[in-house]
Amino acid sequence: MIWLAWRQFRVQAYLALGLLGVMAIAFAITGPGIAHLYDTAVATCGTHGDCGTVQNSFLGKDRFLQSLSVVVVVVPALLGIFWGAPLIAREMETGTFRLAWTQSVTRSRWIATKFCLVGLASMVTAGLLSLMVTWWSSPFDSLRDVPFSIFDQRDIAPIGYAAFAFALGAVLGILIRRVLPAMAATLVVFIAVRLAFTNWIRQRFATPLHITTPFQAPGPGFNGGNGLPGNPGDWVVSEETINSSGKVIGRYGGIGPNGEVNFRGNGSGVTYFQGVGKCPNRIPNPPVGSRNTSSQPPPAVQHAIQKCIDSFHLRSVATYQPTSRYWSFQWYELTIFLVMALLLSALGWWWVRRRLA
Amino acid sequence: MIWSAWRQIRFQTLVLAIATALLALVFALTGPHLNHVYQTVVLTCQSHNDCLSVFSNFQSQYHLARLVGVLILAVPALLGVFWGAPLVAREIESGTFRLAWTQSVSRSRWLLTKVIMVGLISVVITGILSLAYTWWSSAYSKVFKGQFMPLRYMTHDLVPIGYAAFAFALGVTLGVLIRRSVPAMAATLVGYVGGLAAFSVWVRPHLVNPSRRTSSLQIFSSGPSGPGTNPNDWVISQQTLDGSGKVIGQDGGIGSNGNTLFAPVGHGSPGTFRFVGVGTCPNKFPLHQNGLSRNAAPSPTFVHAINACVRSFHLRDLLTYQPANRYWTFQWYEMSIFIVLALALIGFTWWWIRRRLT
Repeated sequence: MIWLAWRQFRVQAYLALGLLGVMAIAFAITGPGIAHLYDTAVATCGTHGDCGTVQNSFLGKDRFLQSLSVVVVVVPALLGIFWGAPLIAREMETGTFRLAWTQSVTRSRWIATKFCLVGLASMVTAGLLSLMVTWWSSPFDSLRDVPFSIFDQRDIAPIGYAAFAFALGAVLGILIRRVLPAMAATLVVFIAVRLAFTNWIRQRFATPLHITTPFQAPGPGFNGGNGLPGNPGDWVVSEETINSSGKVIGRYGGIGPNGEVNFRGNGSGVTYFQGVGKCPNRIPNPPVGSRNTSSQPPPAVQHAIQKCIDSFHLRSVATYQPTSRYWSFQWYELTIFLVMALLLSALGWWWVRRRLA
Repeated sequence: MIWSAWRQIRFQTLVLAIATALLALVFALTGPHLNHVYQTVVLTCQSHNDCLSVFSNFQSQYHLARLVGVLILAVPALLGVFWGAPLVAREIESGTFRLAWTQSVSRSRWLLTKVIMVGLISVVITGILSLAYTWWSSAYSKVFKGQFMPLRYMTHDLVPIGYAAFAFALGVTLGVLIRRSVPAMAATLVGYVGGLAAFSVWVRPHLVNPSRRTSSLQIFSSGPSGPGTNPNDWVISQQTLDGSGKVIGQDGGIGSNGNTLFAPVGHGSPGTFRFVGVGTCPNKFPLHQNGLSRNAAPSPTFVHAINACVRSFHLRDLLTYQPANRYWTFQWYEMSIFIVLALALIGFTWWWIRRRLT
């Protein structure tokens, strides 16, 4: 049975091996040069005072190979579509399962062998791919320092995606019994599950940390949000502005639904802090920043604005997942997707044994 | 024949039409509000001095944009894979072409009816998606520049229409040549992605002869930000030239990695600096060289001295770029090229089915 499963699968396996080999060669040729460049030019740019141009130039190197990161995102879906979905559906569509089931091998063993062989091959393919990309991109990644934004393209999470995509494709093939609709359904469901994890589920793996700071007036030193935690690699889930009673009145360092921070005078020396209240102190004219973008409001105005803001006791709350949780999140994600893959496989196995006539 | 071709495709068309209509509904419901926010809050942010928080909020309201962008890039590929490749291959694989070919309809008419109907549906759906997305994200594009960035350029306006025609025709052709659905689908995907990547890397930058602009080199300014540079321009390369016009560096630096290769001459002559490979600066530098640390910006006197030194060597910055106003030329050219490619593929398939396929 193993031999049969391998015979049916070997062309695809050789193709995957060939593609991995081509990528490995491209990475092996360029990787050491990139690492050397990082060590000699980027890591030492501080002493030469040319960090701006050197980092810019470095990030522009091998753009095409850098964009291969996308392959790590796409490959699990392709494995589910092209390896998973037709695995059983094709046998059913063409009727070859009848021949297979009337041999000495039981249905259970037939399906278990197919699932194990192709499923493991999917995981190995995605794992090797992710390993290569992670190794090759590490100088770029350490310079960019945004590990959570490339979470699904690096390290071990793609292995879980591949296992899940394969099991999903195979099971949908068993249920739908036709190749093309099963492939399309696999794609849709897989994308939906991955998006759900990226946008809603992953950030709840661990209770996020909060950091609260007094709300700052926008000004020259204002860098998009007030309460950002120090590490640039942290994953900021939300930034909210809350008033003294704890109600959320804005996001991303602003007030109101669209991030405005508006001061509006009524002409008689009273200034309204829009959406919050009336300033207790007088703000010298002009109450808002100069129309000219290059100049800031005079210090006296800035000071008065900050005093008005302080009087309302507004706070900025940043909710974030620290960089240090990266690896535990990777393990969570891998485990969850592997468990989902196992459950789906069990469903497929049971369905073939009990329900399929 | 038209009725038969429609029967084979109508369910999938219905599903796609519903999905497209849902997305259009989302756009129609949120678009006017986003445009209103742009008019009332984003345009006035400079006078309120709150651009950063307003931009962050505005960007967060477009959290759907990235996803839809990827979708529009993927839709032509999916149509080519799921509609183009099986169009003929499935008939060959399952033997139904024998029935079709022994009817009163000729092979040519059989193929052309199928191709024109399904191809037009693909192109129209992609076109609707692309134009709706372009309309919906127009305010976003005005705030965040970079119209030639691949993910933006390849998902807006006209080019997705060309991609859809090309992907579909490629799928049909590969299906006819390979004669099996699933391998043809895989080959279509590889061919489409490879074709688009090759076009982006090697062809698109040279569709129109790029413009060049020379200015004196600015050290310690990251990126091409000289006067007159439009953020919507597409910078293809930035090179540093010495006095004799020889290329001695790129990306605003000297040396191939963007380093300035700028270093003190040695302990014997304090305040003397040199550019490695260029020469020793004729002027003296302020001795407290706090400019040269990783985080702190160089002091103004230091930058002034460096630029005096750069001028003495006549170092220049050569920018090769495609100006922003060529955007529509590029869109039309690229769409036309892909449509011509699609027509050529269909012509080849037509000939193959009539003459070669038995």
